[in-house]
Amino acid sequence: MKLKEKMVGKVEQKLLEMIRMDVAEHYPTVSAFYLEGGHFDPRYSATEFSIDSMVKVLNVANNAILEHKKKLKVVLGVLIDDLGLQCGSESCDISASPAMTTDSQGLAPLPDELEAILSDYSIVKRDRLVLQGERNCKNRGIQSLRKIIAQDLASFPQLSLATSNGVTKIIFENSKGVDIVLAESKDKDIWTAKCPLIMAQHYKDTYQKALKMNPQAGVFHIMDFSEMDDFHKVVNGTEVALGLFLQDESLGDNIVKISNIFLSDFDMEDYSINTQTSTLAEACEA
Amino acid sequence: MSLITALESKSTTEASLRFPIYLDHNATTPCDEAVLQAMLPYFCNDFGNAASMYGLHGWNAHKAVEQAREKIADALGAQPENFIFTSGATESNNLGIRGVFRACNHKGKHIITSSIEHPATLATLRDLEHEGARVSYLEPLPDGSFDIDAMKAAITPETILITVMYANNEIGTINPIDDIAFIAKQHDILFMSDATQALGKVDINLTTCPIDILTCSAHKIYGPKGVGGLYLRHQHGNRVVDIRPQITGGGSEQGLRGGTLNVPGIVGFAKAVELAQRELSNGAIDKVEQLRDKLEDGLLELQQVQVNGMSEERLPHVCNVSFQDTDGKKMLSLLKKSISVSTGSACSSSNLSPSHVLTALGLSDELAQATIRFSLGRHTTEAEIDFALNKVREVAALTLRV
Repeated sequence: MKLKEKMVGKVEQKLLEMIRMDVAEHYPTVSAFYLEGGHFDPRYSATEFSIDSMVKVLNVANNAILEHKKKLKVVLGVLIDDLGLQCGSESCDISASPAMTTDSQGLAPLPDELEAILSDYSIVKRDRLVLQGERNCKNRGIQSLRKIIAQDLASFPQLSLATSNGVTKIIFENSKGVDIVLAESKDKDIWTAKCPLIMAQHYKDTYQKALKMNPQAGVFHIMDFSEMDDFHKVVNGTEVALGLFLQDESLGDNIVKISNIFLSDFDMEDYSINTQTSTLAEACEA
Repeated sequence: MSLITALESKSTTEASLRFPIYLDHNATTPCDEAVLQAMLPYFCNDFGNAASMYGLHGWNAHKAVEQAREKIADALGAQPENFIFTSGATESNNLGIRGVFRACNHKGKHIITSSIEHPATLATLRDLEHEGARVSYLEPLPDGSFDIDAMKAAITPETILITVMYANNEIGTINPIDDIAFIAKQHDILFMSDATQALGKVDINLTTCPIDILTCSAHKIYGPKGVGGLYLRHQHGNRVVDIRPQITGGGSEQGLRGGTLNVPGIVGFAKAVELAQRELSNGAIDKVEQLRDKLEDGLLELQQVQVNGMSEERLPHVCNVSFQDTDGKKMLSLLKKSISVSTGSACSSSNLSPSHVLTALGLSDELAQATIRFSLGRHTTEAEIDFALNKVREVAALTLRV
């Protein structure tokens, strides 16, 4: 079926412009774009943000494919908020509803509202939709951190350990010199992941999945929609991903770029974008 | 009244409300229209540099600044020459704390404070610890009040400064400032108080209360952002401590703070203080307290609610409540479009840590996450409180963990 251009708003236009610039800058190297929306908590019905961001992602994907055809690759994804999370130093832990049903990968099913939206777009190949859960990212994040700590910490000058009142913290110092707590422990065998670590693992996993699906690509641009409430954890997660987790990857000549798009709670056409790349951080724009 | 009439009346009242209803006046306040009007001439007409007082433009600006200084000093029971203007309370706190440490660290390096001070104080003290300062961070009593016995016990011959906020920004507890000041004076220790949240809500009298350094800000009292002040007591014609400027360049503000003065901001600050003083004396602040009490009483009818900071002395417009067994993140998300409030949530803070004030009071991280600070203002109406109360009840029921 022939694709038709979708009507888009301000934020989609901005993303299409960013995609246009990436393609123009890197062609003939193939650029792969991972577009993520629809973030939802399976304990509740899909929110306005979840639905709106899913539609925006699909409209951007549709128009980008129409415009650039084989010059780019598009991967679509949804991150599931399946932690049942209460944030904080004590309780960044799992208290998910026991009633939550999951699939064979331990992921909650997409809400009907999102399934209905996805079925409206011919670009969506449902079996190629990347579904990831924060619970999985949390566990894998701790594993990744353990591997790094097991190595010589001196080779990671941005990492440090600090102990106060019996709590040990693993701290990442970002490019601006600000400390980001990645994990905490009262007992060195049990580490509790903090939100930036969970997000950093998500970006690492996303890069690996996008690479596996598009081994011919040389530029990977992750664009994910988040709610404004999650600004700090998402932006810090991006810093950690690019400054730590994707440093030990064999990126080779590949470039990884992450754009966090935050939609206003009060006007879905109002947004803020934070973009950082594996080579340097760019400014936040709105 | 028939049911239909009652429902129509309710919807008419709600239709007249502006959403989200602003109940976050401890974060900042809207600039009062009268303040704005007072400021306007100093942008385009009387735009002179207050330091260039030899020309008419500069002279007019200079006069406006000095009149503002007199007005604010008078409201505080202070002498005008003891009050200088800064960019806000954070700068004032930095100037006061760093200034005292550098001026007095030959006498001792010990500073006493409370663990629930504003980050402008705590971060500055932590930074000074790298320069050799030894800081005692006193934990609050369970009701959020200041532990004066712990303070007495913490005093040593090396103590050079006690710095305690006048009223807490998160839970609204008012500290026993007079008592602290007199004890500090008995021990010949300098006493500094951050009065950012107290100014305009509490009668501050520097004639009777021997505070040595007091800091404040305009934007918490319906003044403009970007202007604040620091009071520094004089004794026998000299400053009680010879603090050095943090910002150098020019000798403005008695050499304590370089830089061109923000004349419109300063004029606005003085007007805001004048309006706040009027509210204190005409009983308007009592009406705000009645609304706060109505809100709080209504919230306490919900069984899962606890009020934080229930000390006897409390700011009249602040209500800090935690919701037990509640999905705090979801609750705040559902309230956002209806009311603007602050939270104790870790996720909403830039360092992703739960409120240090709430954790110092012994709240678990989960409870801190489900905590809301309501801070009412001079324009808050009963209809807004009724709406907020109903909305919170509705959302609390939806997010209650069974």
